[in-house]
Amino acid sequence: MVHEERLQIVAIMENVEKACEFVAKFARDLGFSEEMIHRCWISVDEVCANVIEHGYKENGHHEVIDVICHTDANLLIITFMDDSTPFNPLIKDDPDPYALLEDREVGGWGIFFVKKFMDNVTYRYQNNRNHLILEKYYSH
Amino acid sequence: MYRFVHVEIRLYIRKVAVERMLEVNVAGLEKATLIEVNGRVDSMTANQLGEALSSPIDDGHVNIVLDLAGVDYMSSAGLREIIAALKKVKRASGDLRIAQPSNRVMEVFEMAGIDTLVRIFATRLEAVASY
Repeated sequence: MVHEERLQIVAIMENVEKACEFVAKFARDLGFSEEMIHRCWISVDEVCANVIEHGYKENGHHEVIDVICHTDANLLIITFMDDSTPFNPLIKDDPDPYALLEDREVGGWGIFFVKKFMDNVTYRYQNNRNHLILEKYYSH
Repeated sequence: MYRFVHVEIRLYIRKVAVERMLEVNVAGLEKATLIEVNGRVDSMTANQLGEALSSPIDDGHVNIVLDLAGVDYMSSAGLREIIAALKKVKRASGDLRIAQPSNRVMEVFEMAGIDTLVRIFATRLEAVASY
């Protein structure tokens, strides 16, 4: 049976925690361990913050981010949709954890963490919206 | 040596910021500045960590111990502040050392290679005494 829940937040940093709590509750109800829930939380935090900061350029008071959680077999699927300029965050090269301090940018780790914490991350632009889809396997 | 440092910490800790979720205490010690952070360092609160680190550095206190015992969550926004502060102190011939990161915080440090850039200590006393 497909189980789906949706949340829409106004795209400001103050609301990121609501999106994290929403996904954490969904994951907890599926029986995720606290460690896996923590990884989901960080991933949601990073994705939403990225959209707010870079997509809406911290001017999202009249913009939204939709978050949809659903399951497919033993897969938790978290979809984020926003209306900012089309941008695939996955095309950027991963930062180098072995880089020297002088060669490093200060930021750029958010999407890298999402890719590490999730089992699959994909992007598509559809119906004039950015879609970022995070997938995490779990056992029943 | 340890007892002396302990007394210093108890006497000179002052609260500089209690804002929403993050609490930051700063102690000026003989050889370093101890910054103790409590709370979740995320996209909402990371700027408070940045301010707590910048303030003593901008005042010329460039040997920093960042005590993260009270931090159970850190996102990339927190890492960004730490890397920025590290660059700043290194440019001023200082250093930033970290004490007591939780397992969860250590995990993100290792993923980003922070543990290869920063000396990390199991206790704040060891971190302070390393200067």
